[in-house]
Amino acid sequence: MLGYILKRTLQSIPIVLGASTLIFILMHASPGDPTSIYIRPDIDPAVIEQMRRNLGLDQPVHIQYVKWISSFAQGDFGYSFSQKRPIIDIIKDTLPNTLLLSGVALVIIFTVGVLIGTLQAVRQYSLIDNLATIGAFFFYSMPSFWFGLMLILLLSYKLQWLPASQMTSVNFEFLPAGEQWVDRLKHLIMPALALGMGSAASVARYMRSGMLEQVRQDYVRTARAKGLSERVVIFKHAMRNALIPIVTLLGLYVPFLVGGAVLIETIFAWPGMGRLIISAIFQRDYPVVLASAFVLSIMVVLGNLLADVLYSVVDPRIRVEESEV
Amino acid sequence: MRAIRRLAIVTAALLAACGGGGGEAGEQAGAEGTPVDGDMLVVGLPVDADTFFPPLSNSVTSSDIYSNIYWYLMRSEPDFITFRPGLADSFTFSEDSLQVTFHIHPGITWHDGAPFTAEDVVFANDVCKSPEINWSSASWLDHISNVEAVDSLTVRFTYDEPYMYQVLDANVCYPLPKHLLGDVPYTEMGNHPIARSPVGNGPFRFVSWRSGEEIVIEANPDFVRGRPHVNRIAFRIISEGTTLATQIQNGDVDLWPRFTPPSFYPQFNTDADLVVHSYPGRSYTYVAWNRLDPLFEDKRVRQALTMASNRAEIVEALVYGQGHIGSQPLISTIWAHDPTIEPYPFDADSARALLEAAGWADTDGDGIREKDGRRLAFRIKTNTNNQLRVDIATVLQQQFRAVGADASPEPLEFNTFIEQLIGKEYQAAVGGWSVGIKPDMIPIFGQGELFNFVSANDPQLERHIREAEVTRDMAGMKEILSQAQRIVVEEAYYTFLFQLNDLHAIDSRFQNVDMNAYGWGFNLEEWYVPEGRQKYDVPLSASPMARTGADSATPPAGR
Repeated sequence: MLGYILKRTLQSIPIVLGASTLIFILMHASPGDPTSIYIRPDIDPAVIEQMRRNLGLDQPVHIQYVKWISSFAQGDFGYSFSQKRPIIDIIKDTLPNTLLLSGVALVIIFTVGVLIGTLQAVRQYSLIDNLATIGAFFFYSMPSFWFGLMLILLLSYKLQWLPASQMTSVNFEFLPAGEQWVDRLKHLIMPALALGMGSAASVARYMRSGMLEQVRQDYVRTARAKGLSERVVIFKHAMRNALIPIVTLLGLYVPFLVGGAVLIETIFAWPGMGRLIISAIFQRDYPVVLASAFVLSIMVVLGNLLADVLYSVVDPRIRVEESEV
Repeated sequence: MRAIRRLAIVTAALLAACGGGGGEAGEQAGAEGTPVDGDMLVVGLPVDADTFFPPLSNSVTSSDIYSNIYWYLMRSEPDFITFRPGLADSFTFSEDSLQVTFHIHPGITWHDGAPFTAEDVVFANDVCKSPEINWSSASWLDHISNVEAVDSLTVRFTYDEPYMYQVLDANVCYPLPKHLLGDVPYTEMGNHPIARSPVGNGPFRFVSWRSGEEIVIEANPDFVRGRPHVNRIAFRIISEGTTLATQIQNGDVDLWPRFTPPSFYPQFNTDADLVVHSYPGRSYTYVAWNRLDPLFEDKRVRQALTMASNRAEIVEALVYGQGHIGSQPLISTIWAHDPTIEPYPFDADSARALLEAAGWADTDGDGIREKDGRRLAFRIKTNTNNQLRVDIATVLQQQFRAVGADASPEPLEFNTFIEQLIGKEYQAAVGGWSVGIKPDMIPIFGQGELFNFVSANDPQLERHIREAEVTRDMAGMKEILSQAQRIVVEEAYYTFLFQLNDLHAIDSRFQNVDMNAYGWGFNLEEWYVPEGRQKYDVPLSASPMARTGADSATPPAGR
C-alpha cells in the first residue's frame, strides 16, 4: 500500500508541473500584465518601465519561466505584486478558509446524499421518492452561483435570518465564546449549502440506485431470513456495500469543490483561495496565480489519490498487491 | 426591514442573555444637535487594500483608509485650490514666492507616542523622490528643490520657480515616521511592518487587517485637534455587488461609498433607513472616435453622430438622473471649466443633414448610409466589467440607427480593451476618464502621447495645451484652456456623454455627514451618532501599542 502511494505521488509530479507550466503560458499570453492597472494618463510611462524592471517583467518569457521554476523548487513561492507580501503568507491565510468551506460542503454532500438516497431506495416509487427525484434533478441542474444568490436574497434580504457575507460578524471579537461559534456557523451554512447541494443531489441518485441494487441481492434475503431487523439489514449490511462507489466519489468531488468554491467565495465574500485566484487573474498578479494553481492542482491530485486508496480499502475484492512498487 | 431586524436582535439578545447595541431602545434620546462619542461605522468596499505605505500604494481602498491614519500638513478644500489646517495651522509665502513655510501645530504625536516634527516631512520628501521607491506621482515634486526643517515645528519648501500649485505639491507626499523608517534602506521599506500595520499621526489609528476580509481603525483619543466621535470604523471587503447591496439594506453594512452600478440608486433612495449622497464627481463617460479610421476621418461625421446621441435620455434612463450632460473635457468640478461652452444639442434632423452633406447617403434603401462603396457600419468597443457602459453602447446603437449608422457593441475584457484603445485598434469606444486635480489636456490630446488614441492633431490645439503647461497665473491658464477646449469640441474627437455623479449610501443614523467633491470622507472625524441611535457598543482599545505591530495579520484573540 505504501509503495502504491509512493508510486502514485511520483507520477503526479509531472502532472502538477505540466498544469503549472500551461497556466504560466496562458497567463503570459493574455493581454496586459501586472503594471496594466498603472497605465493612466497621470502616471509617467518611465515609472511603469521602472516597475517592469523591478518585477523582472522586462526579461524574455523563457528566462522568467526558468527563474520561477527554480525558486519554486526551492520552496520559495515568491512575492505578490498586488498584495505586496510573500505569497506563502497569503496562502497560509486563505487555504484554511477554503478547506473549511469545502470540508463542510463535503460533509453536507455525504450526509444529505446518503440519507436521502437510502430513504428513496427503501420507499421506492412512493411520494417521497418522486419528490426527492424532482428535487435532485432541480438541485443538480441549477448553477451553484445562482443558488447562492437566491439563498442570499431569501435568507438574508427578505427574512434576515442569516448574514450575507464573510466568515464572521463585524463585532465578532466582542462576542462571548459560545456566541462566536454560533456566529461562525451562521456564516458558514449558506455558502456550504450553495457549494454542496448540487453534488449532494447526484450522490443521492447514486445512493438510490446502489441501494436498490443491493437490496435485491441474495445476501439481503438471507439476512432477512435469519430474522434480523429491517434496520440492521438496511443500515448495517446493504448500505455498506452501496457506499463503496460513493466513497470513491468523494475523492473525485474534491476538484469540483475547489472549482465551485471560486464562484461561491466571490459571492459570499469568503476569503479563500478561490477568490484569491480570481482577483489575481484580473490583476495579472502572475506569482499568485501560479502559486494558487500549484496548490489547487496538488489538492486535485491528492483527491484522486485518496479516492483510489479508499476504494481499495473499502472494497475487499480489490486489493493493491503489496509487492507492486 | 430594519424594524424586523431590530426585533430579531432584541429576541436574540433576550435568548442569549447578552447586551446588544443600544439601537432598539428608541431613537429620540439625546440632544440630536450635540455630537456624542461612540458607535461603529461599517463600510463596505469591493477591493482589498494593497499596502498602507502611501508611496507604494495604488489602491483607492488603501487611500480611503490611510488618509485617516496619516494626515498632510494642510488639507485641501473641495476645490483643491484653497486649504484647511491639517498637521499644520498655516503657511506663509516668502517675498519672492520661491519659498513656502508651514507652521506645524504643537503637540502632535505619532500613534506610538513619538513626537511629530518637521524632520518627518523632510524625510518623507526624500522617500517620495527616491528612484528605488519609484512613487508613481513623484513628478508632482519636480518643482520642489529643497525641504528643510527650520526648527521642530517649522518646515520650509523651496521651489525652482513660482507657479500655481506650490502649496498643493507640498501636500501630496504624506509625512512619514523618521524614527521608525530612518535607518531602513529604501528597497526594504515596502516590507517593513508599518506597511501592514501603519503608525500614523492622524485622527484614527490602525487596529487590524485580516487580508481579504476586514480592516479596522479606531479613534485616536490623543489626537491633538480632538478625537473623532465614532469609536471605530470597520472596512469589510465584499466584492459581489448584489451581496453588498443586500447588506447595506439589511443593516449589516452602514456605508457603501461610490456604489455602482447606478441602478441601485432608486432602491437606496426609497429606503427610509438610508441617505443617498449624490454630487458631481470627477469622472465622465464618452464615446471616442478613431480619427484614423476612414469612417471617422471627416469631422462632420463625428459631429453628426454626437448630435444623434440623446444624452439626456441616457442620463435619465441609465444613470437615473444622477449625472450632467457633458460639454467638454474639463468638467464642472474643475476650476478651469468653461460654462460658456454649450454641449451639442440632441438633433437627429441636423445629424442626418450633416451626414448627407458629408456624402453619406442611403442609396440601397437598407436604412444604413454608404459612401464610396463603404457602409457606415462600425463596432463600439467597451469593457465587460462595467455594465453601465455596455448598456450605453446598446442605447447608442439604437440612437445611431435612427440617423442611418449601424453600430454594434463589442464588450471586451478590461485589459484587452485598454490595450486595443492604446494601440488604436478600434473604431468607436465607450469609455470614461477620471479627471485629476490639475487640469492637464496633454496626456489625452497631445500629439504623440500614449493616451491620445483619438489621434487629435489640430496644430492650434497642440500649441494651446503646451502653452497652458507653462503658464503661471490662473486667469491666463483658464483662457488658454478654454480656447483649447473649444477646438476639441468643434473637432468632436470625443462625444462627451455625461459627467457621472459620485453616489454614496449611508445609514441615516450618522449625523454631520458632509460629502463633496473632495471625497466621501471629507469630515469623517466629525460624524457622530446620537445616543439613542447607537447600534454597536465597541470600546476603544486599552493601549495603542497593544494593537499595532507586525502581528496584526493574525486574527484577534477569541477566534
